[in-house]
Amino acid sequence: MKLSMLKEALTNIIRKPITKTYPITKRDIEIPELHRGLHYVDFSKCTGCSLCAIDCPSNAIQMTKIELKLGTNPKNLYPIIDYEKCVFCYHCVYICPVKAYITTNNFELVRVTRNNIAEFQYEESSKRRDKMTILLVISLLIYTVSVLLLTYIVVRGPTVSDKVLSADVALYTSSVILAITGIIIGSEAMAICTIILILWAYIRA
Amino acid sequence: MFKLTFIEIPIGPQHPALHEPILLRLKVDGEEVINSEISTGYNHRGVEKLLEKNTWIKSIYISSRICGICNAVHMQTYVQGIERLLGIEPPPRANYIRTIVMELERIHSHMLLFAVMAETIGFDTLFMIVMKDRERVMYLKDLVTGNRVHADIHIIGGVKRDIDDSKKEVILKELAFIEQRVKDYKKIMHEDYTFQKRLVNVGYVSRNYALKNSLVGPPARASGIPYDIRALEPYAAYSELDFRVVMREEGDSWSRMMVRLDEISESIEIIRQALSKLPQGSIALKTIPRVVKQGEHISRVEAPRGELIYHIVSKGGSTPYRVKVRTPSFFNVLNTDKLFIGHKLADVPVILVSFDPCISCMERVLLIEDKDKPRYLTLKQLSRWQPK
Repeated sequence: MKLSMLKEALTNIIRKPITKTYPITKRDIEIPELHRGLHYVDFSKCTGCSLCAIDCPSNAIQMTKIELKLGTNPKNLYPIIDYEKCVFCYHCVYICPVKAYITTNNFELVRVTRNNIAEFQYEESSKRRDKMTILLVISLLIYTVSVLLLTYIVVRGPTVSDKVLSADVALYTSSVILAITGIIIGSEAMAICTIILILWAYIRA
Repeated sequence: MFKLTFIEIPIGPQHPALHEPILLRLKVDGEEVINSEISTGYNHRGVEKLLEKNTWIKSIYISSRICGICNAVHMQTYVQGIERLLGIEPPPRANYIRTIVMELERIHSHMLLFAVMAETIGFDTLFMIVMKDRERVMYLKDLVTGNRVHADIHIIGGVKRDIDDSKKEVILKELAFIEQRVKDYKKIMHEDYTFQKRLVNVGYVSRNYALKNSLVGPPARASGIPYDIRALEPYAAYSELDFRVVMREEGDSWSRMMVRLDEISESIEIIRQALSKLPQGSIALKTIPRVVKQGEHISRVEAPRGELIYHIVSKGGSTPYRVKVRTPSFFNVLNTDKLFIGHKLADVPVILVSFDPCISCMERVLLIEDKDKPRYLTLKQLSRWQPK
């Protein structure tokens, strides 16, 4: 170990840690002005030639129709960048014949942080919940219709036509549908209830 | 009578001593390794198929994603092959800028390996110091290309960014600092007790062994084979620059590391020359060709780890017909298995690291042809096929 290294070792004892609690304290290392960061399209310059969308290696650019009527773009096709797919190779910036892309050196593009992760997860889960509620509503409708049919037959008294469409058949089918939806949604209570219904129908018969 | 039994120790594919997935099956007698086997195939990504499916321009960017550390070199090899198929020559200024970027990459790749080696032998302070110094080279690469890691500066027929005078000044200033530090590293290699004990006479590769197993790059040059594509078949601007092919005769792990450190000094010299000789003019052709005519070309470039080969076949049209990639680690890593024999178990990671393994680069399908009797395998058999 030479003296030059010893000097560095001594100064390192006094120095503050290089690691920073990012993003609470911003990093002090400068970033070059021409760093490939967030880039976006100046719509007033774009001619809708679609070269950037054709050449994009990760298919992150989609040409979408926006009725802006700026005059420069006859087809009204504008590139929309999906930043989650983008690899920031800047081929689109290079290939653009009218230099419509505006570039920045902003690299902090994180959508989910520690603070808003709960909201993000809630959004994601609510999408799934919507699908489930539709299923539930459909199955409940079928169930109520079949129960009404059953009560109607019970009140009216059995006739000959009941041999074709008996109340038990309606109850069986509706409860089977309910059981399947119960399994799909993942609620065990519903599945157990429907099994009891099926048993009751069996005893009645 | 009594029967000799040996313990078989599997290292990897996930192991703290290895940075990438590879399986070493070591047979040990006490502490001594008596047999070893390397098996790969844990990180095959199907990049070659992806290159075939995309257009020429898209596949340039995919080729640079094969390796994170030597991405500009991969891009140079592929773009150079396409340019030679097309019969076009990039402007001289573009060639010089390509050379500068590739040499910056060589510097940071060798510094990374030096840091990893320091960590492997238990010298963690040096690891921290080297990684801190490496950050300056990464900044230079960010300054020139626009990103710390992925250069993405090549385009068919030129480069995308220019180097102006203010950038030149910063590069020269930082290079002077790095040159001084590399001298310090060399002193450490010569004088430090830990390095001497752990590296000298460990993993000896004879000149014959290196030739027989076609080792490339620093491992070959450390065994006395002056094999460097930059000198043998100059590409980019190397034919106009003066440099020395670094060579050593010892052939052990220590000399492999010393070759790399000497190459850093040589790379700094190359960048200085290239910056002073930088010709005026345009940096790219006006139009980018999108269709390549029929033909094939084998493109060779000296990557930080050794010779990199791309075999590009075109049948006309907008996509390549076949791109075969042979990365330097392919031979360097597969041929290390014999070198562990006779060493202590603790020397195994040191020997492996001294070959600079880049596992996910080298994951290719290797077919060994049986000349006497051809065999036909179904897809199911092929998926369960194992080399004997």
